Amino acid sequence: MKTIQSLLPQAEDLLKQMSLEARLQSESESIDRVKLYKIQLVNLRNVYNAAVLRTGVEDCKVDNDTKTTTTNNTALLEKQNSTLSNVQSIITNTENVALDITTELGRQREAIINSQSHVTEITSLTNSAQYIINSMMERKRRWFG
Amino acid sequence: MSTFEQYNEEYLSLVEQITTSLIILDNYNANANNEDDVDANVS
Repeated sequence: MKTIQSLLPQAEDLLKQMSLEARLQSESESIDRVKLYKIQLVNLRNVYNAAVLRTGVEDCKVDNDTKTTTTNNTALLEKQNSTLSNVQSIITNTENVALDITTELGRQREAIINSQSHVTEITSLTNSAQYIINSMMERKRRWFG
Repeated sequence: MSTFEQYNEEYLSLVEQITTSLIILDNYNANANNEDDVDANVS
């Protein structure tokens, strides 16, 4: 069947070329021949289509082997569906865990920023204290030599 | 031989192949029908 399927378009293409060639030559005999061929090809295609339909009807008469294969394939597909559902569930769980981790990390980041701010404040206070102590030391040196 | 004649030869060869394939297909369908009839008679 595949052979006819590929041969028919080839013949149709060839007929187009012949039609062009016949028109170029302007020979009435060639033009008439192409017309006849066109009718012939349409008939052949009709015969082929009818044969395909008949074969299709034959193919519809499913035998036991085909039924078994179909059942097996259905079972396989159901199994794959179930596996996919499981995988989807695992992905959803993983996504939830990831969200929790992100939230926790956000909280920790905030805590670190707070701590950093405290450290900056303490550093500033330490600097001030250092300055005061230095001034006191200087004054002591001046007063007591 | 002119281009048209070359195409003509090629076309005729294709038609011959198509016809042969159609005959084979027709025989195949006829055999399938006969087998079904035999199966139906047996059962």
